[in-house]
Amino acid sequence: MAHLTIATSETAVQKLFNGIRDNFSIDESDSVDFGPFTAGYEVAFHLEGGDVDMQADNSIVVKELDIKWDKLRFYAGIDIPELCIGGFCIIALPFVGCVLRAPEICIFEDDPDIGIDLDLNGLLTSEISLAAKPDLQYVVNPARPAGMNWLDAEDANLANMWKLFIDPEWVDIDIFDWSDIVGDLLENALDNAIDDLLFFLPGWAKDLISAILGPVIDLVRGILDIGDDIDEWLSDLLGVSLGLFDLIITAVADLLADQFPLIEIEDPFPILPYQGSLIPVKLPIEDLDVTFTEDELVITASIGETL
Amino acid sequence: MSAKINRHLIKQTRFDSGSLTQLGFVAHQYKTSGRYKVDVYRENELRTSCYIDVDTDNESLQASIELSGLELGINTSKKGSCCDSNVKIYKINREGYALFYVNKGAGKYHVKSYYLESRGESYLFDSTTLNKGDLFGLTLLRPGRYQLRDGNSNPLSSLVVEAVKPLEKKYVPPEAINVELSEIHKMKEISLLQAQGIIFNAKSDNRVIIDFEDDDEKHQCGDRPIAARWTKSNAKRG
Amino acid sequence: MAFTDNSDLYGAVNEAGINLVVKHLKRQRPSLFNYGTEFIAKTPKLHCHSIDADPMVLLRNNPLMSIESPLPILGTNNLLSLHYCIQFVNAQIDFHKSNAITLPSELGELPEQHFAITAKVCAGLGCPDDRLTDYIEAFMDSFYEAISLDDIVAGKSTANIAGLKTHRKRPDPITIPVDRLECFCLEVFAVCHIETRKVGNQHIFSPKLDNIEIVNLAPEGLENSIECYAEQVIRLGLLPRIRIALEKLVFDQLQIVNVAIKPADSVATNPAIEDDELKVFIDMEVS
Repeated sequence: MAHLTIATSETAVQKLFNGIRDNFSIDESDSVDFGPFTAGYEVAFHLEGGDVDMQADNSIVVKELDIKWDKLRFYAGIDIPELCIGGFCIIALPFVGCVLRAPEICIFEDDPDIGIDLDLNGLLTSEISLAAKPDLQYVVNPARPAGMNWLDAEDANLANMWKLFIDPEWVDIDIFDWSDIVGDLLENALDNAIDDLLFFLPGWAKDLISAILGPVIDLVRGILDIGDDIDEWLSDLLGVSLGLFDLIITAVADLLADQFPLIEIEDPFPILPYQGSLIPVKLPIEDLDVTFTEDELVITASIGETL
Repeated sequence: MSAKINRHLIKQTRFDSGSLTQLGFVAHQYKTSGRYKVDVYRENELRTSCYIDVDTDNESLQASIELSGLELGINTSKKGSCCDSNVKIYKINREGYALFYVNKGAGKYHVKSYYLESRGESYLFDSTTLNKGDLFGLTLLRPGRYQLRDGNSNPLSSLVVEAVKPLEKKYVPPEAINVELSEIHKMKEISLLQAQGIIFNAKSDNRVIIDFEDDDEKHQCGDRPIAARWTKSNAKRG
Repeated sequence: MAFTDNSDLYGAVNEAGINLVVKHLKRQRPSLFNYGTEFIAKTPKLHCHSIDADPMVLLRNNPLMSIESPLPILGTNNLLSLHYCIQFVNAQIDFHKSNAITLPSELGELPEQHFAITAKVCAGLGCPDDRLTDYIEAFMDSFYEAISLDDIVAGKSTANIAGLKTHRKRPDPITIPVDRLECFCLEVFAVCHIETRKVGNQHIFSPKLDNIEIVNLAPEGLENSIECYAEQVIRLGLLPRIRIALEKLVFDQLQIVNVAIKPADSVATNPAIEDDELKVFIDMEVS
């Protein structure tokens, strides 16, 4: 029979979960080369909210865990197609076609590119839900040399630990809504990008280049493969192609699985500290067991006979 | 965001068949089989050379010879030399054309070529004086009015390039127009759209010089916008 | 019924667990349970009861006994004293309902919400044998002036009578060496309960001694006196230290939630001593 019983109510488990949640933040960036364009993101976010619901099957479900974006910047670098003039036919022969063609002269010395930079912070509503089961691990301090006794380990701060993680069974991310202004923002960004690219040219040259390129929005939409639904395109690009949603899900899963334990118990567990030169008194903790019920988290443990 | 524009395309206001710059070209047909040496001059100084092998067996009907690249890539060789392995050789069919053009830098090239076996005693082709069958073409980008003159600065005609504006549809320049130099005096004004090609067919001893005349203020280069400025007077007032 | 029906957190330790805590305490901090003179502390073969210490205690040269002053021999002006030791062995705790310790009739039945403690207390005195006492006696005579009958009759001042010889240097005090202790053991029983007190912002457990009994000791006055002394030792020496261990064991575990905690108000008896367990009900203080 266990010597120690500790129970925490659902409210307390919520508090424990909040502690983990508040320790979590991500600041990441990534970019991918898609050939005709490169796209990337810089994101920073933390989590807020999240209702913990304990289940009878020894699991917990967390719902409505809001992703709060501290930074959500999307950028794309788009290669403008080579813009050359000339190349017209000088002499054409019947049945043969053009036999002498004027040289093509290219307006840009290298492939020009434009960049768009969108600050999407505050424009995306998203949340996470997950289910997890308790995962109790006895973690032998990896820095502890083999054969080190418990007291030397105590002195070197290398004690082993019982750690209770909540091991995710599944993590879902829901993108609820892009703000209506996302489409306008993107189009304005593209217009501005072309203007910025050609700002130093005289008006006639700018007009000519724009005329040859054709409507910029159509051109860039074509390059970026933006369909009718900008929200869907952006979600797909950020979430799937750039893997942002995978990053979030993995980060949350890792956080729960092995970064921030719900509970840590030192083994052996100290009950009296050093008193002068008198060694501390510690208790070996054995047979730790954890169960989620509908009402509470119950931890039981035994005190070992020997250290 | 980056764009290195080919600034010569924007800046140049003179186009000369005898002093080739970007946007212009000269084409010549070598009608006799054999090896020709082409000496390339820039600003009247010999810079480099190349060979053109003309033969009925050659498949190519066009040899496009970019003169600035030729100058950068190959050293000159002495007139009459036939054995410099570094000299580039172009092959062309007897029915084809050699097309000389420039796509980098300020240009001002002309070429002279001769039949190699003649040992350079006389030039067969000199791009400063175009003869029957030779072509001078160009693509004018800058809208406005141009004046056409011959090699002696006699006016030939005027030329107007009409500006295009960005439209809903992508702009594709219309087909190039051909102008017989022998009949140019009959043309009061030649009209083109921006980036539309024009080809002049030479008759004899021709040189065509085209100067931009209509210098409209609104077509000046844009200045880089100033984000912030400190001046002494502002500082004192502050 | 859930453990946390009436509180946010619940912690319980049963008597088997507490007895293991005491066992580990005894092995890792033996000086809490063993007291004696320096010589006895350093001479394990003289201990009344051998001390089972954790190897780390010896490795770190921790004392097995707390060093106490020797017991002075009265009338020797603190020149002479005796070695002794007192050892608490086989301490055991029994939470209500009583089922592990049979309390002596003097203590009656273990009341609800109380716990019983029993401990065997062994003590030993370093009593010198007669020959050594004879020798010390002769030695001590040389330090005192002889008292003649004439001096008393003549009515001389008694100031120097039986006094130390003033012309000789006072010797250093000595504790009479021994090669064995005269040991005896007593069974001590105590009934205690636990109160929670708030000290500053901290809520602490405070074990309280209700009653103590030493069985089969006569006469009654001697028994009472020894009980009185044992009570002082338990209340003032032992329980405060056990209190710290109890607090660490229960409160530290419950303070896994990083918020202020306080005993739950909605539980009638908190901590509760029942079902062979010590139970604590804690609420989180949300400010």
